[in-house]
Amino acid sequence: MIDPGPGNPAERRHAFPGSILMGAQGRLIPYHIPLRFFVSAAVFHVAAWLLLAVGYADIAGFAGGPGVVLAGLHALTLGVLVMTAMGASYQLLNVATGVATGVVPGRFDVSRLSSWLYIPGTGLLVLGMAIGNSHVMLLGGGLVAMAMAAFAVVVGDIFRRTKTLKTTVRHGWVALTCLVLLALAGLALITDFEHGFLGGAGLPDHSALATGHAILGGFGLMGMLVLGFSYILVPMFVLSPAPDERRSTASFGLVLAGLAIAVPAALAGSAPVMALATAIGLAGVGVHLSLMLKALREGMKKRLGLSFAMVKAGWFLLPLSIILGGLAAVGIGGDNAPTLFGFILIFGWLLTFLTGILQRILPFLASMHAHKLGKRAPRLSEMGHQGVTLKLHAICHGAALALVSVGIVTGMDPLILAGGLTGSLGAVAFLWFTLGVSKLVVTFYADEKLAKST
Amino acid sequence: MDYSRAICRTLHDDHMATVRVLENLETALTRIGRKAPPAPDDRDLPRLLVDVTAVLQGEISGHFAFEEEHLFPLIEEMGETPMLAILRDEHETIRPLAVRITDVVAASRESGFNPDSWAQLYDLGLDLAEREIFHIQKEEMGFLPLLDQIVEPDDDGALSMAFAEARSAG
Repeated sequence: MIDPGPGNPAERRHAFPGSILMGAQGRLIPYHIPLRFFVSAAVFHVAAWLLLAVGYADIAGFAGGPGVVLAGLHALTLGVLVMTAMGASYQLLNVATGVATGVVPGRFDVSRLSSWLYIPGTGLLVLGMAIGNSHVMLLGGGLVAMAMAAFAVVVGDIFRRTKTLKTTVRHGWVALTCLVLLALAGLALITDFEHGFLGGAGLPDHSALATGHAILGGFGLMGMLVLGFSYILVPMFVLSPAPDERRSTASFGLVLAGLAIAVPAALAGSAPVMALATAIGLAGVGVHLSLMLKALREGMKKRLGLSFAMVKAGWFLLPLSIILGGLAAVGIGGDNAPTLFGFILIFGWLLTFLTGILQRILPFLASMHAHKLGKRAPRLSEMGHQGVTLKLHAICHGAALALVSVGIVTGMDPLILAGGLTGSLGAVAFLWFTLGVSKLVVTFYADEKLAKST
Repeated sequence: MDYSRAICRTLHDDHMATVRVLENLETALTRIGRKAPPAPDDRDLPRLLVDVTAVLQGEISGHFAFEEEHLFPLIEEMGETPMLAILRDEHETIRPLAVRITDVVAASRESGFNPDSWAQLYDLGLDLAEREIFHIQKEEMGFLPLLDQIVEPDDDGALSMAFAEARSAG
């Protein structure tokens, strides 16, 4: 891969978000790296909904602690959300910035190493949580933390070298900072299950640190990556000009301030300060969403399909999750309010948005690999049996969100069970789609290898 | 899109018109469905098909030819050949689709649509719309911004004139 280096005209030429579409096949990383993350995410997606269904009786009043519910939660956060973010970051940043992904000491590709650590590590961590074994949890958590460190090295190296896409890079730096804090907090929480050291000697108690951990993961790591990447991906998909940089900087500042206030407030258990953080965060998200809606209005493309129905639903759920978080923090909404907040944040905003974006990225990636090999790419809409898979996923996902939310609010466990099973069906459909597109890419390369050998 | 060169603004306007018509075509085709031809008293479809064939003539014949003759060489000089390989490849895929659609629409003017010819138009139309819009997406987000940076002001007028000629010839 070619790294034009800072200041080089070749790099300046990639200063616009849409350069992701052009010359991209020259900067594609090996297809199996992003695909292993995306396929794993699709598998953990099924596992997360199934675990939610299995633990249905303990969801509504969930207050933390090992078990199936915690396992389901981490199958989704680490297994789906962070997994997708890692695969997408390696490929998209490489293409969008024009700076090659490639921390390769000797012949050791760090992005590949991160997948070897992260995928089994997440599996072990989820298993350890499900069976309540803190040693397995610690082993899995250690592997995940090492993988995250590798991810931070690779992505941080790109952020450091790129001179373009400043808004996205700013969000990325905050996300990486949250990643470090998130991993430390996560390992402390796992250790506390065995040794119970939290709450003493000026340390926050387990519940307060878990809340801080959730904010760092949901709004810090994932939220910042989602907001930052949206400034590249949404204009590209709708064919609109890049969002105004001053307003995106204002949004970034507000969201960062909200986050910086919310985490210490959660650790200190201060409801008034949490309310302040909620208001500031909401203002930042409001500016961000106004920029996204402006992009939709000004975009040349108006028929945006099912993927953008998911993206728009995600945009609706984002401010809702912040409001619910604020209400839960000040004690409004009853005993189940924190659970509803967590569900709408993770299964609602983040999962809905990411599956919407992933259903655009995967066929696009397959198309780029076809071009790279000089093959005629199938139509994007023909890949992965979308007429069945994505429609079924969207219907099931929407129904599952509604059922589980109502189940949590009313404390009616059978609704949560029904939601978990419906979500599982949708996740299976999404896995079918992901495998279909992945198989296509693998076939391109298998055919190419065969043609070269004959 | 805020382009500084007239040729980029003109190409962008052309793209806007093409996307609008092709999205209308997608909407109409999915509304009517593949199984049965449109009702004989459907007045919107014939008008839309007139727009589609006009766009295909202008966009496919004139626009593609102009890009290949006048603009691709500029990019080629910069060594951005992978980008051009994609665009040329897509031109070659889209051209025959456009010809076939034009033929099916022309035949329908004389005898209307039967189930076979309608199914043919349905498949070709959706295929063309998706491929052409994806192609425009690449040009709008990658090719035109790059062109806007490399076309010299002195050459801008001449290129705009050449484009107008190519369009009228197309």
